[in-house]
Amino acid sequence: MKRTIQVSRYLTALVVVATAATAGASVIVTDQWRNEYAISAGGTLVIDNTAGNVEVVAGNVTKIFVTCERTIRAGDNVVASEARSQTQQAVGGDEKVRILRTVVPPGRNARWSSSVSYVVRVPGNINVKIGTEFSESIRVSGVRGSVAIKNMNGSIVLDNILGTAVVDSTNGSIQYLSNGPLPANTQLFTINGDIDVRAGVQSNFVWETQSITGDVKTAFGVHGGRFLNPKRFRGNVNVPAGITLITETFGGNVLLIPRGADVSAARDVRSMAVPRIARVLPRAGSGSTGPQVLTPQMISVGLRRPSVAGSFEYVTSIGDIAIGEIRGDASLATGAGQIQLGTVTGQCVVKSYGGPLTLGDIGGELIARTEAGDVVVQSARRGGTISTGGGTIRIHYTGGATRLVSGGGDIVVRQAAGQITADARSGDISITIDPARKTEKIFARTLKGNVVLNVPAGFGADVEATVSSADATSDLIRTDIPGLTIQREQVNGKTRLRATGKINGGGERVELYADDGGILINSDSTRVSPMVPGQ
Amino acid sequence: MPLLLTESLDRNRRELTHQHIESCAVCSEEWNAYKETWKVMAELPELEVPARVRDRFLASVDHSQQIPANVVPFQRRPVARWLTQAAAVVVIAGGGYFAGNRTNARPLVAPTEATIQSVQQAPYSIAETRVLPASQISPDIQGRPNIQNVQFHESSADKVGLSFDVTSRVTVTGSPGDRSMVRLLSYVLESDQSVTPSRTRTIDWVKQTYSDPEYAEPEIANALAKVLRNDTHEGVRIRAAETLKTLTPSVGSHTRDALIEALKSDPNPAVRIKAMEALAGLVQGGASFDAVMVDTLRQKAAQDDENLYVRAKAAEVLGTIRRQ
Amino acid sequence: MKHLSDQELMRVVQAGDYSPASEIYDRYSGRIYNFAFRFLKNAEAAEDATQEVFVKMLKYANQFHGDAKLSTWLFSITANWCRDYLRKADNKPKDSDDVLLTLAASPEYSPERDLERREDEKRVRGALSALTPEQREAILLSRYQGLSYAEIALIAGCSEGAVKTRVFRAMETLKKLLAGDAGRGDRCLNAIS
Repeated sequence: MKRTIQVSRYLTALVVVATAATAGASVIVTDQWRNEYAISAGGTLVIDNTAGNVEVVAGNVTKIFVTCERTIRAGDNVVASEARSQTQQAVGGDEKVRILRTVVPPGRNARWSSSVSYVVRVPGNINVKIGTEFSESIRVSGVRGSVAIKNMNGSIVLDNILGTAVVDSTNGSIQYLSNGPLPANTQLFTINGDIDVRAGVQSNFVWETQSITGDVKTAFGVHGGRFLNPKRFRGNVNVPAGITLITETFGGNVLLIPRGADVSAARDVRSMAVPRIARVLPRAGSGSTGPQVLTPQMISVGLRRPSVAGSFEYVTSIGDIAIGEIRGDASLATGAGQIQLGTVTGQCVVKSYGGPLTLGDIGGELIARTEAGDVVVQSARRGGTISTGGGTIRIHYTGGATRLVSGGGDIVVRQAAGQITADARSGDISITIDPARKTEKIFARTLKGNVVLNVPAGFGADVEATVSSADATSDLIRTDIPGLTIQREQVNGKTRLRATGKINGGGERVELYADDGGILINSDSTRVSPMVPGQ
Repeated sequence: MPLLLTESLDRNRRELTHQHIESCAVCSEEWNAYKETWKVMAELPELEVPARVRDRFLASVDHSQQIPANVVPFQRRPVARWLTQAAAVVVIAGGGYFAGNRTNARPLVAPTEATIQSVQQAPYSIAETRVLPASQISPDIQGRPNIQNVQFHESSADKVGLSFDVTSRVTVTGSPGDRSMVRLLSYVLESDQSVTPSRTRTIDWVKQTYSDPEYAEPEIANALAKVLRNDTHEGVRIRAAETLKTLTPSVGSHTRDALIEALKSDPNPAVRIKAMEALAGLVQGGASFDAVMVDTLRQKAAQDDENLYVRAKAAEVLGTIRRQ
Repeated sequence: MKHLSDQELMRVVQAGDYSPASEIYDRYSGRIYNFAFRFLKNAEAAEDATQEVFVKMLKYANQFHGDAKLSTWLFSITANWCRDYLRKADNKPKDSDDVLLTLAASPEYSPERDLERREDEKRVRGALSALTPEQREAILLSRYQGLSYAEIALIAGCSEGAVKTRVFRAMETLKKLLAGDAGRGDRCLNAIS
């Protein structure tokens, strides 16, 4: 139920108008009001505030006492007046559930902005629920009931809450303070903020925590700790007696220490966990393909270096890797992030579970794989295997047998001086043969897309090109090179066109398949300027 | 007022009347009352026809008796072959016909004064069909046109009919902003029976041409959104999401919904990454966050089984939310 | 079928092939149904009208010569059916508050807004029933279905001038009932029209 602002005997209308000295500057209008509401023991106070700070303090009172301050920023007094009329407080509910809601029109207003801050004194034996979008701070202290807070931005402080606490923030940092032992189940969750928990040293609880990119540290004696997955840690503090503390953040840090302890005493939980077995890439040159034992210290954040002398191996669970030059073999893996390499003189093995790979001049065999993302390689001098679960593969030069696999996305080879096997689940395949090659073994297949093969003049091959389509016409296989004959047949309701024959007297086998697409074989590959690898 | 309401005034008198209304309190009040009336009338919602009516009607139509035995069943033509013109032609038409080629001399007719009331240039429709009497068709069939979907008709004792599709090449030129060009491109993008080369070539071309903010076209963005939603092949969906990223000025709420849907539930992580990048591009371009987008991003960032790169990107985009 | 024009679909029907029936139905049933419902104020009758119109379309397809629009012809059949229906002694228009209105989901949906819309709809329905059948037919075809006065004249079997008069009279009555007190007062002596 929406009502306009109530007037009570405590109303204080304090209007401050501040106008800046320069012409066209904004107007700031602030006004305050106070109200009080009855609430029963065990009742719930709900504050729903779009923008503005909220402070709830439990004290020796039997009612809710609310002081609100409304701040308007506008271009002029007229607009400010409009803003005031559109920024209202609605009061609803009853003694069991008291709702205070700030009501503003939806969407952003270019001409004004408003915020309402709440300072609320409450009886201790109630529950509190707060929801805001933008605030600098939310603070709740002394409440003996449960507390639930949801916000987008702004810090959150819970101070000596005796009931369960659940905090869900997007960008805010969360601080939970308890003078005594952790009193009840507590869940603190934020995407990008930090979490800082300080509780009595006698606390007993199960602690489950996770930070994807940040650190998790504690000065409590945690025992029985283990990683449930590469990032989620679980351990016991003292003798858990049914209370659980969950602290989760994606991009921030987690700190859990006894109240009054020194922060520097906190240790990384990774040092408290039983080591995990993790599968990594075979060490470059080692010939070993079995799993390696990883101690958690090996898992760290991203890396950026201009050069590395000698062979180099690096694994990170999340983070980008960017290295200018590796004078040796390289073995790099990231759980999520992009990998950028300039030059690798030896064998190169790179793997990302998600993120693009951008590789320069690779002297040895290349094994590059990403679960999702584009792969760009300037030069794979000895060829290799390049694959992506989804994304484009673009190779400028390959000098040895090369296998290319894309789960969805195009494959482009601009200068192939070695055998090529290309498989695309859906996407076009475009291969240009090195002008110096007289023949080459090529296999290219796409389940939905086109295949384009550019060959130099005089390139000889035994060609088999097949197009399968629900609606194939004779111009779906095109070539300017004589020597091929086309057959048409019906297979499983689709028309299949097959062009076979020898071009320029024949040579290595060239097999091209395009489902639901076309095939083009061009004899002029000098359109693409050849890339000569640097000597 | 009656003449104005029933659009019976010519342009000048209409203009004068409106000018008068603006300056006369009585007429202004009356006109506003009519406007108010119409506003309320326009609130009348469009009702949906109950499905049973359709069922009853179609049940009453006896198809089997109506289709003559000598008619070849209509094969559904691939929609994407928009170069194909359907022609219900009595006699095979050759390419020479369209050039207006005639072999017989026309009889001379004494000229009479034309009494043309009004001539409207009918826009050319790519879906146009033609019905032509045999006597007006040249018997020369040049260029070996491709004939498909032949049907035969017997309309009376002494007349036969032959219907078929014939391929001819049509080139449409115009500015990227021409309504018809945009409509045509959208059609090719959305056609679910499109042969892949056409559709993927179109996506690439759209990316090149419509990335210029001057040619921002929500219709193109919406067509790409449909491809993103419906195409069964991930390569095409990746391309569509990638292209949407470059078209961010054109992206409206439907397209944004398609990106959010792709981010939430596309099975290929590359598509989800591209959708995320396109959404991030929207935000960087100044688009406002709404609750759905924020919730989707939060869910992605927190989702343990999601590709970590997607999660990291979601957290990164969320971190840019500030009060506007 | 979707890419064929109305004329082409009708030519197929005239040739004895009824396969375009569903396509033609899908194109026009909404408009026919809405017109019949607003005219008769009876959902059941509107359903019957809709079905009958399309059955007649097939039966009398050879009477469609392609010189007028298919929509005009269909509305003509509908208007005739509705007039015949009303002429029968016990078929007077009646309130259909019980009809389930299937409205498109709106992003602005809210219980308050929905209530407002239902109230407005009731007012409009009441106002329409205050019109004579001829005025109601003219205003529905003109303002809701977008037909030209010439087309309405063909359907109603009267002159264009008569159609315009009916539209204007209908608007006057509706204005009195829907715009309330607004617009009452002296006529301006200087009005150009």
